[in-house]
Amino acid sequence: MLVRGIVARLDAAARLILHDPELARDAVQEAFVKAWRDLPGLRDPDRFDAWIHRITVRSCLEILRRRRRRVIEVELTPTADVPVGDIGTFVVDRDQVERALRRLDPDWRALVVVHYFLGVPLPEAALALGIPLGTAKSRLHRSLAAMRLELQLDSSSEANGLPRGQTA
Amino acid sequence: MSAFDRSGRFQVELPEILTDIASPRVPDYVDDLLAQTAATRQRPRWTFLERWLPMGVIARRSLFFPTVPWRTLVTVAVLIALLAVALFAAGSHTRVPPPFGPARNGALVFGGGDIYLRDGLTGSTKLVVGGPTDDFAAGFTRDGTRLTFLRRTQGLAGSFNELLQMMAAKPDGSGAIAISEPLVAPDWSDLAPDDSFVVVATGDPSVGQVLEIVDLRTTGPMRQIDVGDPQMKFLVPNFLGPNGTEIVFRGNTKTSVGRRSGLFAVHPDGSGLRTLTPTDGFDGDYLFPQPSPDGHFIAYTTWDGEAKLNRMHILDLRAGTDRVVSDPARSQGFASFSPDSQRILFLTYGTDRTQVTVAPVDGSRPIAMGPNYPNVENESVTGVFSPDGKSVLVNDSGSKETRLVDAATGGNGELLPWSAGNVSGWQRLAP
Repeated sequence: MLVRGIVARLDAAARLILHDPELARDAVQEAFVKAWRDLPGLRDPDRFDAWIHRITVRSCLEILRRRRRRVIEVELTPTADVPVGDIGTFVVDRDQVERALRRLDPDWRALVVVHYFLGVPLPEAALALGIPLGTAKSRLHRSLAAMRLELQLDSSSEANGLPRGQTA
Repeated sequence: MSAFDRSGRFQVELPEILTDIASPRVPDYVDDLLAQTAATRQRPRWTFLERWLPMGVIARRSLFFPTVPWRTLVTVAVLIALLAVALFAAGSHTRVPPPFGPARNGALVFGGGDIYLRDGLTGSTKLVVGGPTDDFAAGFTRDGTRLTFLRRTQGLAGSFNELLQMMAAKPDGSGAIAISEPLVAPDWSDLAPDDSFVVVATGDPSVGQVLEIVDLRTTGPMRQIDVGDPQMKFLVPNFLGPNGTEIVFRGNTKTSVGRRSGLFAVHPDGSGLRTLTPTDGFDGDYLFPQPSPDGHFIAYTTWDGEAKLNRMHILDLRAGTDRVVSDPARSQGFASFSPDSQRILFLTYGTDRTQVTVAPVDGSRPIAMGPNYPNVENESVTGVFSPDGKSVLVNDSGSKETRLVDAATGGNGELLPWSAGNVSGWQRLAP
């Protein structure tokens, strides 16, 4: 039961990061096989959750990298500074959040998922993604700002009856 | 519908919304996943250098690390394993150093795949074991009269089906012979004081390793040490000085509260098993036990779960005390002793860097040996005392450099350009 619960949570995280159930399945399978194979190397059993999170997230990102080599890469997210302005109050539904999440760069999206969905503290999330803590803080801040902006634009578009562009 | 505003509700509600989007559920492939996992062999524990030597390794005479990274690190001499069948004949009339304690510095061996010998720090270098075989982890017997190394006889380096054989040769590499059967995952070995046999921890780590005696004088089968506890799993055996009548090891056995680890000693024939510490350790405790040459101390490393740091302990066998001697703010551990048993050489490390360090046995006044190297995945920083105890060799397989550092003053020392960061053994000669 414990394993099934972990798989369910990691499968959900992988689907959030990859936006593809089949790829998520591949990522989780790769991660579990690797985790099982390397389990004797785990020094501190208390670190199992953090360890399996890290392996799964890296597996997701590796799958994305492999796909990028095969598929035309599409820039989904502005990499320049995102305005973090006075957004004000707006209303969205889960589809809007999902679209905003999807528009993030995969590395940024992974950070949001690891921190906000898996509940991994930011220092450990940075470790999982192999980036410095300062970079993780900056990326998270900009990711949230970008999502807020998307939500705002999405709401504005819907209010004006204008469809928003479909992302890859 | 959810409402967000600039006050931060977005972040507050994001976890819930992400959960809503992802709808965690046990996927339909979970059974396939478990079956696939069950069919996968676990990687041998001994291939995890970091398990014992987290950010690196202290190279010592008898350590083997058979995969490519280990090889570079050479650890070694442990390796040494071996033997000599013919060797006594050749060495019996030669003045040899005592089995424990300071000795005069001799030749150095290094390399992986092929093995090279350097005639002292300033002499010439020559290939001593070459050809298509994969040979590594070279070292010398305690008396310095034989060269020992490991040879991969089956499987890829680090793979679950890899087999390794202990080999022995003359110091010039000639007359190489196999002195052991092919071994599964040899974790660590140490030579008997008279170099007549070697004790090696070997076997599938997922089942539990055993101690085998490899006789160096005959080519017969290995003999497993039976300590009278069928539940015992063994790691890191070392002979206890000054006479070597006992073997110290990290044991894991069944207790009334489950399997626990501790430090033990036993005679080579399996008799006289005794505990040196409580048998209360978990996976990360009582790691890498190393006796001092004079037999007075044992250094080991344990995991502090609260501080999330490794701690270095010194067990005083005469006083019966066990002291933590490491810096409370940093991970330190994997200590080995100087030939005179007065100092310890250990690693000070964090997630990003590893520093070889030397200090008196009480851990006071630590001195940095060589640069504070950045950690590189699958690479290691190691250190080893010279036989005379006056110098420390610092290997960094990541940058592929070896430095010779004054053990008394420390510093960055002298770069040894011929080595490439993988010196594995230093011959001991009679003083």
